[in-house]
Amino acid sequence: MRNLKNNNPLKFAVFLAAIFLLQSCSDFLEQEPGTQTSINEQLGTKQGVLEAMNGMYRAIEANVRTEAFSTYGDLQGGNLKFAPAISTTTTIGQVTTPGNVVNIYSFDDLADNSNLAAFYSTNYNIINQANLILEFTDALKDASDTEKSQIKAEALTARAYVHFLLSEIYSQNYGFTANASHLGIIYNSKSITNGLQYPARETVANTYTFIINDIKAALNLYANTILLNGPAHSYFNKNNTKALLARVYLAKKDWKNAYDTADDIIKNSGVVLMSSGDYLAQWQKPDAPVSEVLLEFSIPRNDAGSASVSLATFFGYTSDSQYGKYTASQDLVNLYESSDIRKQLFKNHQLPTLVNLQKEILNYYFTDKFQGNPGYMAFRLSEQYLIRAEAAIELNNSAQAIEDINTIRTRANAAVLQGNEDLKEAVFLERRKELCFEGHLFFDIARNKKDVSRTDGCIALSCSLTYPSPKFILPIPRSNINLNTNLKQNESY
Amino acid sequence: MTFTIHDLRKILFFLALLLSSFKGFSQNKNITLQLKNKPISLIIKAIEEQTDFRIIYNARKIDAEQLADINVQNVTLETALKQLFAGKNISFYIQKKQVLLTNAAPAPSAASSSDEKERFISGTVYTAKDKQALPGATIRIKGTGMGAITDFNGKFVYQLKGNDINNLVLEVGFLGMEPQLQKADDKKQFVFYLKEATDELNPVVITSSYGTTKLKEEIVGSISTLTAKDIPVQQASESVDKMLEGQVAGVLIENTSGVGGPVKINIRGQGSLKPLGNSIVGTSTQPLIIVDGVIMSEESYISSSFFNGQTALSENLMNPLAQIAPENIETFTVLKDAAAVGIYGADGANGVILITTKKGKIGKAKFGFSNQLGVSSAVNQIKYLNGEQYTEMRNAYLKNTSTNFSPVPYNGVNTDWFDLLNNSGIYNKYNFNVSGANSKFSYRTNISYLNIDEPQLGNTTKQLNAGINLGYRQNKFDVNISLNPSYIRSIAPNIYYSHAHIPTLAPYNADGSYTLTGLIGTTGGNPLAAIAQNKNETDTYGFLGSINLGYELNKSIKFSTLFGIDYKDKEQDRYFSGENESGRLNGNFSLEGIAYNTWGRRAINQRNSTKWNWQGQMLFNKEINKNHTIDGVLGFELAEEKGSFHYASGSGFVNPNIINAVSNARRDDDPTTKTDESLGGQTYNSEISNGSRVSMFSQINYNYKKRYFFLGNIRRDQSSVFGNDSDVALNSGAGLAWIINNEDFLQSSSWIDLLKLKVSYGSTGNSRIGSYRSKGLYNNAQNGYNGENYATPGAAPNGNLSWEKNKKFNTGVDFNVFNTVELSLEYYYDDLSDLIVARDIPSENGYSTLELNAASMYNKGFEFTTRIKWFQKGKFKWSTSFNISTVENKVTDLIGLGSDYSQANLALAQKIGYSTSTIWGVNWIGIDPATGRDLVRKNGQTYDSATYNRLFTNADWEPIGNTQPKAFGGFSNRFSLNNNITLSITGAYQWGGDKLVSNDIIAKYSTTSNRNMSVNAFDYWRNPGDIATQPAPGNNTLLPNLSKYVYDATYIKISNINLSYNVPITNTFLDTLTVFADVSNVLYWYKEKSPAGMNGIREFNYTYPQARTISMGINTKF
Repeated sequence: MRNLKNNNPLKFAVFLAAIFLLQSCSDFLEQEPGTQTSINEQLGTKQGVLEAMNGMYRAIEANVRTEAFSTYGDLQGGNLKFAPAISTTTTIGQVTTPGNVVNIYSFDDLADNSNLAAFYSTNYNIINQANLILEFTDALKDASDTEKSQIKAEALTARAYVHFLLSEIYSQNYGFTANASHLGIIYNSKSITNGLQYPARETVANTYTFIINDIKAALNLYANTILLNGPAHSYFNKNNTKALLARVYLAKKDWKNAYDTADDIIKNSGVVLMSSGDYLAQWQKPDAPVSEVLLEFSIPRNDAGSASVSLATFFGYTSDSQYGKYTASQDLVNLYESSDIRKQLFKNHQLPTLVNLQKEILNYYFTDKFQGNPGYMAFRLSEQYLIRAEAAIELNNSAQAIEDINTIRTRANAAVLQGNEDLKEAVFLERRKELCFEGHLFFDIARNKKDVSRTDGCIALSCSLTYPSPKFILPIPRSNINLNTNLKQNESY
Repeated sequence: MTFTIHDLRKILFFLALLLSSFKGFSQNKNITLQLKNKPISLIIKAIEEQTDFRIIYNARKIDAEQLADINVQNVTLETALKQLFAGKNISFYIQKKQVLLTNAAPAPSAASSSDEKERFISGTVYTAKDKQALPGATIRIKGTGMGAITDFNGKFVYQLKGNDINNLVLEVGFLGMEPQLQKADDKKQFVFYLKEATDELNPVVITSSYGTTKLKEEIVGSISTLTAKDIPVQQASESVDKMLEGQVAGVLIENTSGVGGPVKINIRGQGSLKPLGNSIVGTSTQPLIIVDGVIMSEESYISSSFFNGQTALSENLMNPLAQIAPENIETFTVLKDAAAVGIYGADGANGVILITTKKGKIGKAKFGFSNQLGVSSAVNQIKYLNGEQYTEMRNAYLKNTSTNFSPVPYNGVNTDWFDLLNNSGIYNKYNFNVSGANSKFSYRTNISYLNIDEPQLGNTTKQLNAGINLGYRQNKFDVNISLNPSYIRSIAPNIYYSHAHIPTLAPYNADGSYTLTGLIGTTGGNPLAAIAQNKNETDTYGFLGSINLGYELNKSIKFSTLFGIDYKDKEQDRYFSGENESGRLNGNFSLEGIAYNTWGRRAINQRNSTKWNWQGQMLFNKEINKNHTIDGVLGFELAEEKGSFHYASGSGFVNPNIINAVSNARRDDDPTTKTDESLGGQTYNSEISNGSRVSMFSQINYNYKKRYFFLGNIRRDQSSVFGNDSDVALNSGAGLAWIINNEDFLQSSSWIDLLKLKVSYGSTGNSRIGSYRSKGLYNNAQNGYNGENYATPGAAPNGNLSWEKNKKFNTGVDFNVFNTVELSLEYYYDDLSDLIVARDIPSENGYSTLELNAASMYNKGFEFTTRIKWFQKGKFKWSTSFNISTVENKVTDLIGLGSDYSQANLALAQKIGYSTSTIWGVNWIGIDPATGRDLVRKNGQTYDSATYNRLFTNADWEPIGNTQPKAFGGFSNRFSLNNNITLSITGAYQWGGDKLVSNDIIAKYSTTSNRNMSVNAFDYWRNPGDIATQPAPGNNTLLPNLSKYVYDATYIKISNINLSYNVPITNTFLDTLTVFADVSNVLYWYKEKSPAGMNGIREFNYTYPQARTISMGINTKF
């Protein structure tokens, strides 16, 4: 009986422990919210990960489509000028700087109120989405290894791409210092589930290393499966990831790798250049991208399938009472020879404009590249020819450079290079002409350490910018600087 | 047999020490045993195993470990024992199935008288009330510790010994009963009738919901307990919290007006950081409330649109305590310090309130009935501008804000809207109960029905509360069931008191129809029309129930398990009729081609919550020897709460003047679009909020010689609401108490009844932080990239998010003297850390805000309580209780930033070094006599408000007040004459504590196109040179947090006066009949007087005025 007395507490304790362990092991302590989904649940299934990946693409598309970013390279570089406000019966259209770009246009962005502040934080939000997908995909039970590889490849590419966009805007070009030791960007490869970070900026050299590592890792993972519905060219794949890599190498001035990567795409991607005869028609299609597309982000459409918003908002022309604000500057239009079929992509519309308080009818050239329902053209094959050309020049392979430039010029029905021209200038100009409105010019200027000189239609407080200048890059938003003592601001902001 | 016991107290030890054997199934009468050199204890057990006798003895007196032999074959018990104890100095008595061992007296001296030396006595103990046998009562010989315990039938036997048996006095006691004495004389048979103790100095106090209890004077922690007689149940309130305002030291029950609002009880200061936004979603600041072991769920908003309390059609929260009828409450216990709440671990930071309901008492079926009826009227109403004043003010405003303005003449109408909306209310309450118990079965049923017709026109509350308590005890098992179903129906179409309508508008048109006010939206419209035409009804069905099983293994160990459930089903149904402007939304819609105004609005909010807890525990209690006693509990608890919320609303009906179903809000579909617009007027939303917890807890109490007491708690909580990385909370606490008067050196000072010092320290947590705050969330939506479904991250995850921590230090002294005065003084210091705040984080993390444990603060203060029984003997009795508490709060750390400010009309800030209840704003110095603008002072400079607003931001605000009183408390007095007439007066007070009154009705002249203002607004600047309190009506810059809107809320109030008379009755079926008169909310005294003809804190303190209720009633038992 004494035994009984002594044993019982023991038994009871064992019983308690058993109940406790039972409950700890079970999912009694797992409670899921209602209309929202916890990260663990969302990313616990293939379906959920694909939804998250869809959300990531959607966010990238929305971010690159923003007015301030989609016009940035061309506006800063001098390809664009503003159309007047739409005239009404009582008012005459006035030319003003759109509010969304008012600071950057004058090379006077404000850390407190940056025109690209939202672009900055949204990119890191996208990076976080990619990181979450990367961290959870390996544990998926209902996805095959192939599918997991493909998911991770796309997420890695997205992470690299978005970091590269940030790097272009917030860091001086790779050649700014001899060893690229100047300030790069924060490279975030972990989600917040690993703890709150107060990160510091990498050097540009490190930034590029991280970007290239991510792209290479992705290239090793691509499995040639398509996981999400929609056009194949709207998702990251092996070809457009190589195109990204080629562009990164070009920006890094790693000419050998730039040459090889572009060469690989041109020879092996299976994508071919648009033909000369088809060139205008390809651009003028209202809904589909040009045939040489490598990556174009799809625009959002409503339930009925009609486009809700696209780049046509900024570049489109429907009638004199409905048009976007961004047109080609005469600086750009004048670059084309008269035989160049690309010149026909500029449609002249005469719009009433208020000049010195008087109404004048002025010419405005709207591009045909973004009429209808255009998506954001991230990569296409022509750029790769020009990358190969630029790299070839630096590798002293002038013949290849001339050939590639002439491939583009011949297609455009422009005079071919003879070989005695300044090839560096020639490829720079060819890029400006071929890739105008696609967001390259300002970065090309910086890479080539040229000066900005905007003449036609420039209403900025300062229309030119001499290299080098701290104003080639933008300020990190002040709130980020305030919250993170490890984060250094760019010079002059 | 010579028990040489000196101390009466020790008897308690001995009784507890009677080792019992767990035995009794053997039916053998005779004994066969052969044992050699075995301890007597072992032999006794062997004997017990062969018989159904229990052998009991005092292990301190009988050396049961001494070795003995026994060799018997089929002999009777008596023979066996005789052989066993031969020469052993042990004698025995056999009574029924018990054998009592005592140490045998030494051989009587030959010189002693031939008088009787021993006498067998027997007797029975009954309850005085209903003559029921009382098992378990103790019979002791006065002056010694010796005695016996009554058996199942209330009977006892004992052998009296000594030289003077006739003069021995028997003292009979039973917990909760008054002890009774009888001289032995020459009696052999005794009968005792015990009365219930009416005034216990040292009652047993429940110290947790896990079955632990302690004598009041032996409590180590800080525990305040009120019993049924302390609760002024006749105060005209709907729930017990309002009745107890000011009655418990350290417990600030926030004044609310109106009926049924959510409970606001702060134990020892604010338990968490005040959120800076309007958002109420956050950490609970309310104590854990446990009713008969059921952990009550708290009604709160959740972090999800439609259910976060941020819209005009959000659900109105109700008071969970209204589920319990105050008449059914037996004890109301507040646990405050770490020693007391430590056993609740991560739920204990805000203190714990334990409520037990009344149970049946031994005796025949008893019936009780009471009825109370009273009238209520609104007190301290805000005085508004009359028609003439309003017109003058309005003209002044228009003149200052427009050009070429010609004044509008007064139209002669003077409507006092406030008066129209407030009339006399009726308070009516019925209570019926029946209870009784025998030794096995107890029962009590209580039914209360309350009908409050509020002074606010149109608003009524009906409340039906039942309480059923059943208990059954058989041998070592006991079962208790407690059920508290409730139904509350609140009808409140009158929500029109936040502002008054203009006095120059008559309520009715000449044809008797209601006038239009020009104000639309839920609080717009003609209130009289809205009250008549709108609907706002809330039905709440609640059920609180618990079942508790106990098994008493032996004297030392008891197991029990309890399952409790709190179920609630609530629906609030509102309809805003299109007949008045409250239901007239802007816009229109078409149905079948006909265009209609978007009039009529239905909104239905449903809340369904189930919270259950299951606990199992082992209670132990062991007296190691005379000096050392330990007791305690070890157990586990599982709890889960599931809440589901539904919202449905419809607006725009073809016939908006009748109450329409939500589904009637239909409109035409636009055939050119893909989406179906026909349901565009309807909104539906659902959400859930679940949480679960697994806990283990333990408490141990040790005392040495009843002088030194030690208490230790430890608890482990694992909760779904915490982040995965920190989901285990381990909390512990310890306390020490020293009862100085039990020391030898104070034994002789008979005037000291209790002198106790105590100290405790420990950690607790606040895990009630909302269900999913640690989880990172994804938002799901349709039509994403390429038209597919997509998910994007929402709230940031914080795997490290953990419970808020609250380390509590408490020390105090209890001093009771002359059986008359009880004094208790305590000092506490609560160190709160890891308070949850939302902080901006570097967006490179992918998120811009994160909920972090990133703030610390402390609450500290003193609590003093005294109870004085001025007169307790004789015809006139008078007792008083009084308490006063202080709270001082300071924010000590805000990780990541030094301060954060709210918007101006909330005037809140979080700033290191300041109290979280500080009112932040701008020092107002007057109205500029030259310009009529507000002048404010900043850094020694004087600015007008417009200039100030341009130069300074929120970060430049200064403290202009503090809502936390410097001290608060309450008092009560109870007088009785001849035990027939009783007068009791209770009150509450606060010293300091400011209130920021909204400037809407004082100086916001810009809103006067369709709203009236208080009379204070009439003191505005008119001409250069005027000295006024309000600026010239116009579009001046208005700062809502000027110091002139801060009022000192120091007050004393008499909350309740109750006079009752016990009608002497004979020869009726009634046992007692009491008639009473009661006044609730009797009167207020404010330190800050209202200026003549103006409103001050007295009026502004409650926009919805409080009600004073005068009532009469009867209370009878039969």
